[in-house]
Amino acid sequence: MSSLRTAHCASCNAAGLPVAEGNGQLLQVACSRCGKVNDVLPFPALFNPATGKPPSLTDDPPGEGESACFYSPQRKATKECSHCGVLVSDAWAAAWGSKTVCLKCLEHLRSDAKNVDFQSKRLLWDNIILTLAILPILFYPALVITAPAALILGFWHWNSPRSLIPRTRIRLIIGMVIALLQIAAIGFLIYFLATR
Amino acid sequence: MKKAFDQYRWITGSTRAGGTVWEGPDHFLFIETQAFIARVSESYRRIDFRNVQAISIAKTQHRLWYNVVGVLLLGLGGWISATAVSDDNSALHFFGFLFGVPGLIVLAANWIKGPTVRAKVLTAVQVMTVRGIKRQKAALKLVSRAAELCMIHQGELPKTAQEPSGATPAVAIPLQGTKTKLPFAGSKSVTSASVALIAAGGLQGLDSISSITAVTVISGVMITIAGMLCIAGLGRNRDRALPSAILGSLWTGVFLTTAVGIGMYILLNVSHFQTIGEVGSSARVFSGFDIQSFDEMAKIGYPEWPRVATAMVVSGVILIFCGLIALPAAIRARRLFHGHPSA
Repeated sequence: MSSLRTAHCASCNAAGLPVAEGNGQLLQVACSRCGKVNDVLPFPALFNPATGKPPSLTDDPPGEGESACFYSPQRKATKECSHCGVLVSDAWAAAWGSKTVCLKCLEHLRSDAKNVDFQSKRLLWDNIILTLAILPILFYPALVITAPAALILGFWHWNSPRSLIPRTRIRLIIGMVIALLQIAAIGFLIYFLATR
Repeated sequence: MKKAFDQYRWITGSTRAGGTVWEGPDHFLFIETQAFIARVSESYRRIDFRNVQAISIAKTQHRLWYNVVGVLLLGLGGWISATAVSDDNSALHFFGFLFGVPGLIVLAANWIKGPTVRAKVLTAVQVMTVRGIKRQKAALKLVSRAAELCMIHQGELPKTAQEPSGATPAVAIPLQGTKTKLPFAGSKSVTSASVALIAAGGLQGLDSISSITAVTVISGVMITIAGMLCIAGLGRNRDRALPSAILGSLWTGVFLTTAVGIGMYILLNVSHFQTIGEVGSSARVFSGFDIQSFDEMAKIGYPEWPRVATAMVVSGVILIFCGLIALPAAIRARRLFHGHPSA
């Protein structure tokens, strides 16, 4: 007898796609809510009772001689944070690739954005500087502010991480060169007006 | 864009499309780009292969809208160019190209890229829209790779005790690479094309025996609609394995409606000259595309009229035949996947 689970419709986002065991096969299912036909690829994790739903957070108090969770002392410590080393319960631990980190560290590592494995966002300063150098040409009076700003930002973020996908500094350099030319042009214009 | 870096290998998506999908040692990396004129930031999401529960893909209407934009640009460019030709204005030609060429590019690119889709990745704690996937080809690349990687990391499917509900069973399609055509799941465009073919064929036959101008006009409009719906049916389902009955009927419909259209265009011009030439100065003088001239052909004794009428009847019968073949096949496919034809 085959088991049946529901997946989410890619169109209406409702959990309205009844899928049976696919075992690596693409299934075609109509959403029970919006009627849209979805192509669904279910995996064993959907049918596995252990992974099919979020982990439960039942109280599991520490026994005699057992370590308690650093953050929830009423729970038994089952894991050790690979970043700060504190003992934590399942409720406070997160599996991050091959590492286990406590939720506090995870938040810190994600917001700090220094560790590549934990980075959640990067500003692409090379693109920003290039845009800042080129776009204001259309509104040329703004160049008085934007050209020096682009140059300063270029030096400031010379070593800032660029895209996660490796690429050269060419955008940054082009942006800075354009900004430099704009500053030179502004300087020449001021000199010309002053000496006329 | 690089296809690999550090421990990651590119799977699908592009930065222009809003993101890329990468394969890591034990997880997918979804890089989403946020843009304001240029790309200003990237955000990263990682999902372990063992946590992926399902990937669902649904078609969207974006492709239709891209086509509308392309047709509008092309139409505008064509109209400007036509005006330029009649006015002998070379400056207008430039504007004709300025609108027409981008329209053509939009249509060609949209056709080549294939249907637009939205893809979602489901885990126990999240339903994530994959922003980098906008086209079916890209989605099938992810599906193809995920099927391999996630199955390896998740192992064999464990048996559960849950009883099946009374839901519509899903139809399984074995994955054989990204070029596998999905089975035909029924389509409103195919059903509409079939109905339109039957109606167009009937009107075509009626027009051959009727001299009412309204019938000629309606017949012409219906044939145009039928032809366009046939093209839409073929286009919208080109990634599906259409049954040969539907495929043959729709292609016949396309060719026949085009031929009928060309035939009507020629006849309208021929009948114009014939009316003036044979009946003489006492007869009504019709303008070039006067639809009434077509219906006057039988009355004025146009020598080719019997052949024209026969061709109209034959083409009408063929169109009805095509519609009658395609319609049941389309309804059958729709019943199979949706439970009932109106779904």
